[in-house]
Amino acid sequence: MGEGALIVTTADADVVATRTKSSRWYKPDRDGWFDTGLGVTSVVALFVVWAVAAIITNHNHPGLVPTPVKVAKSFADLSTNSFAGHTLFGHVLSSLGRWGLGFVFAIVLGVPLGIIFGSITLVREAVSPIFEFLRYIPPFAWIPPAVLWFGSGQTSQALIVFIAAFPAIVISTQVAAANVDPALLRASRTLGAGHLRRLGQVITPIALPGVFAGVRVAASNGWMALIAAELIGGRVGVGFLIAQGEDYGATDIVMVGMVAIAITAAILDLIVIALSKRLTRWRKRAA
Amino acid sequence: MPLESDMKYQAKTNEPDRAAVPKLSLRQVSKVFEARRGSVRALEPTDLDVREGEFLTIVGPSGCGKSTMLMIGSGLETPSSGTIAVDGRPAGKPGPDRSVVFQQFALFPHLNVMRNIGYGLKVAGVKKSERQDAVEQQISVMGLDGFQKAYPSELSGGMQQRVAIARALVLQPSLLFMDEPFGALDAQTRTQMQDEMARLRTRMTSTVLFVTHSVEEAVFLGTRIVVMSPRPGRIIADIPIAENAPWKGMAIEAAMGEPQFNSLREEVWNLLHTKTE
Repeated sequence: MGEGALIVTTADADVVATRTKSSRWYKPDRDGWFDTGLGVTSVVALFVVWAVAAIITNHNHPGLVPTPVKVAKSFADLSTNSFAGHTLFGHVLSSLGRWGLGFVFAIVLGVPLGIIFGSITLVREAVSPIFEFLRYIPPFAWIPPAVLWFGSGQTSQALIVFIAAFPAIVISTQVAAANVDPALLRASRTLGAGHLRRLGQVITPIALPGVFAGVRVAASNGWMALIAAELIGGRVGVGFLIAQGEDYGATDIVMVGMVAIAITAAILDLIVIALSKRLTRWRKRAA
Repeated sequence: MPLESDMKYQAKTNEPDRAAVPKLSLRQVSKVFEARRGSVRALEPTDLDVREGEFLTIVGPSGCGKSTMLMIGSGLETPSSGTIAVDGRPAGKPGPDRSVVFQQFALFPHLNVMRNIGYGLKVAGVKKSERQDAVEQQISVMGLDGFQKAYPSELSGGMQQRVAIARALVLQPSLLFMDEPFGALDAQTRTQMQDEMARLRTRMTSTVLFVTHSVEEAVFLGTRIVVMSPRPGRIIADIPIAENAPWKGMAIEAAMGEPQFNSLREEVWNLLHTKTE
């Protein structure tokens, strides 16, 4: 982020560079290593509890809770050898493909709709009752109708992702667009900008941080809904891998799937955050 | 609905006499804000003519409708009654010929200083190279050198308002509306900007309407002062100031030592503080 550094060379009295303070809750002067240490400690503690639980339950129910070591071994094994038709990586990629399809549709439709809802009160008032009604239906409830309409293949799973991701994107985009300072809209009018420029060059870019907040939630909502859809009816994907593991009574495979889901979700989140930072660099530094 | 009055204007101004036709003309303009608890009359029906080249300062207490009147002139606010004409022709939508400088700067947070200043030119379709030249020139006029790539959030209030003024001036508007532009600045910066504004005044061709609640500012910058009453606002005094008034060309601190400046200031102050009922 170095390129944004302010050059304060002028001796001008009213030049004051604004440096945003660290907004974390703890004292900023505390050693960063302390926090890292805290994190590491709790992760280690989690593994210890897991291992102890595995050892205790193994007495009476061998294999019910696999040890972390066993899961790690299975992870390595599934990474190279295929199970249920694909390697672990293959399942993840397949899931990601369907996730991406639904997610991209949710963005392509959700962002412009949210901008329009947020900027044009009339449209918002007309459409919001529908949204208010639909948002009480969990995405998982759409799985049966989706399967009935489109079969249990790619399309219906991508549709589930779309349904899970779309509301978060529309709602946060709408809020962000509605919150754009009206003075900026007035300024753009006096500078000659018409409706389209106002939407595209003022409201949309300024709403972008809010849009990304929604996209971030949508990414994980969509991912979770997809796994659920794959668990119920699928022939490939991480959810399917877990379902197959269950059928074989292989708890280690089930847990490998769960770990893969979490790792993938974390990576997706990091990508969204990185993209957001890149596209909204105009916001206050260190925000 | 406005057809009839439009036609009246057309008829009157078929052969506009440059000297007689005011740059901006408000006729019986009023504003009533409809609120849930009834309506609030912000501005009584008001007539105001502003001649080309004038620097009109409008001074009045808070809530007297002075900003409303300014915004009606700029086209951003529609009057509840009355007509607005620019050069004798009915004024339409707001646009780059009627630039506005807002109290809260209203800079685009996602554009750097250069792009903020160049935005109006870009919308107008000015070629990139010409645009850059015009922007660079404004940047040096407004003392913004070295901040071309900075974003508004990285600038102090004073610097932000310089950018906003540059963004308005770069369009060479024939009318410039300034709505308490220095009201959000600290005292020291404000003084600096007032001096800067007086300096700019000599090199720009725009007709300026400048709303303020500071009597000193109104007297120091104006070539004519309009004084308004508390709500519902109306004009209670219209005071021309000679171009060669002794404080013209002085810094504001020095002007405050001028007896004539102070007597005019006192006069305006008294107008503002006597009950007009």
